[in-house]
Amino acid sequence: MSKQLQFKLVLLGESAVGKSSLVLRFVKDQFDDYRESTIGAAFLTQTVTLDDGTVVKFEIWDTAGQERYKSLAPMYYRNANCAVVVYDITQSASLEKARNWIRELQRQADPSIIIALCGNKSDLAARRQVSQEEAQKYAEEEGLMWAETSAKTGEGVSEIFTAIAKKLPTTAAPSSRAGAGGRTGAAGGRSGVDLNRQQNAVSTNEPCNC
Amino acid sequence: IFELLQSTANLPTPKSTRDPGHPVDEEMWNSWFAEDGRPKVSAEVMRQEVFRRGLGSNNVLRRKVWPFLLGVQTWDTTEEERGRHWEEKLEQYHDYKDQWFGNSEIFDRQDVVEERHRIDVDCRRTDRTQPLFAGSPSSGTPSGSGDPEKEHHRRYSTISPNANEIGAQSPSNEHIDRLAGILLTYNFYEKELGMQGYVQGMSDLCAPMYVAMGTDEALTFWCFAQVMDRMKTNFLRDQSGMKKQLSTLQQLIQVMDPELYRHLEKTDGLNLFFCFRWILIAFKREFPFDDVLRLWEVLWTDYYTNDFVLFVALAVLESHRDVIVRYLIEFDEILKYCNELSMTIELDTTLAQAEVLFLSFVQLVADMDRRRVEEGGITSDGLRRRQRAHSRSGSGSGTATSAVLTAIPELSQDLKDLVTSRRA
Repeated sequence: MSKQLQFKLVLLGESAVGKSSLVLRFVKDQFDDYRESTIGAAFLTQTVTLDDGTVVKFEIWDTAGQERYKSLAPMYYRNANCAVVVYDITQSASLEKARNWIRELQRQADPSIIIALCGNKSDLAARRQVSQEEAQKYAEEEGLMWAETSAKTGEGVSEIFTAIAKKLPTTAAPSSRAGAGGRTGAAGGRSGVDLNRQQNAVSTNEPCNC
Repeated sequence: IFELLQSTANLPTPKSTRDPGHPVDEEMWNSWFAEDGRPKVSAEVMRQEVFRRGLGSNNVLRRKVWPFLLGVQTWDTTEEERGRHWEEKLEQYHDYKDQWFGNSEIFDRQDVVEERHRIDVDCRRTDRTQPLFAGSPSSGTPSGSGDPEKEHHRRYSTISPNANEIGAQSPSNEHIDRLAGILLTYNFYEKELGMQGYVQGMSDLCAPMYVAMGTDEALTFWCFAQVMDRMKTNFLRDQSGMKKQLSTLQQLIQVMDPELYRHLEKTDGLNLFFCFRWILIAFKREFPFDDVLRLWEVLWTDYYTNDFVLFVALAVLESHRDVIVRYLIEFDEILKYCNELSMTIELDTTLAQAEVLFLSFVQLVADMDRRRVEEGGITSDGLRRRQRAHSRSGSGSGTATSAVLTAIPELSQDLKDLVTSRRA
């Protein structure tokens, strides 16, 4: 019987870089030109089957990107096994925001968290403001996975999730949901969401500048 | 839920008074005003009728009614007085708008550029299924063009920070740009009141008003400003306003449906974060566009309480409480389930249930008060004893008091406020 693994993944990044669109492409293979902003958070699941037959189920938390809602993010990444931090290759400011998220994850999230930096909207390469070299160099320095994607065309989307699936520990996470899956495996603790606890966690962060 | 309530308190089930099949129409509305435009009926009657009947799908009537509901216009005035008042409001609006409109110094200031970007990206993806917002510039109707001032200021009036960004975002059109302008103007208005900045969700509140107010910019602005007066604590940076509302809802569930409360407790769901979107933008994303308008005008009547939205949330939860309690054992499952209720909720049955829940809650509160008075002697005796114990030992040992109080649970001030607080 093939192995089944379950992991919690959180999407972070500035508003309108395409977090929800990436998930929509990955989970439903769809794209919506007028995808509305995410209010609060969305929760979706999708499985990836690896070459050796291992089935990896992602439990995906898609979060609101605007700075104002930053204080709510820790409750989603606190028990995450992996994080996809998204920027928009046509907006250099969005890479800055991505760097902030990565710094925060490195400080606050579980030390074993796998972080992927994702440059979305690669179909708009003509308007590129972030070079591949710059992003790749930064990712290498920080030990992150890195890829460019286009949620619109689908380019690179399943590849980045598959690459993450391959990198996740194959032993740490038990597979059944009843056993609470990856949520207790690698990250430890329950995945419960507690608004009050988050306030404490976030108070040590640098103040946002919006 | 009702069996639960009735069994504990032996109270009759209240009935809904709503009659959405017979909405207020223009004839009825006009009959409420005298020759000089002064109302012949009280604001209370107007609010009651709007609460019970709603305005149907009549946006022409909405343009007349919403300004009263929202307090842009005062009820007990003549047509002429309202006309003068509106002239002032119009002038004020343009004063706020002119702080940025056509003003390169402000318009290109770094913080304003960033703010324009935040507003722009959201407006381009808000209600794009509405005909006004659906088209791109070529297909959009150029109504209002030919205004020479507007042409003159075009460079400093189009919200999108730079033209080449169109392409990365969905294309804009004239109405989207005006919507963005209203939201940017609100920044300059609200700055005086000590809040700052556009927050995601505001475009969801503003866009339906722009449509319902027939693209009247100033009217949309003032209606939006009044709605924000009710809702701006939802958008505070520290989330304190949302926390308070969700906490009140949590207490409401505890009183009205203890079984659901205990289930949420077990699933780590007591933060009610799956209701976050419902409350933040008053169910804007949960109902089809026309239903959102019908819901909002009911909420704005403040007919029973300022916080009727919490009873609407409770009504939705109650409709699904059996599924939640039986099948959803993880917080994320509940959140996914609640998110997916969007566009499946029937508005009028939900509003009727919200009303019944409110009336049941009032009965319950009254019943608890009555029982508390009946046992008042014991309570005050217990209290005296506790005070003595307190002064002797320095640490509270109120066992006698708590024994009495568990029999009749004490309601928090937040819950009591639900029954007593009305803006009108």
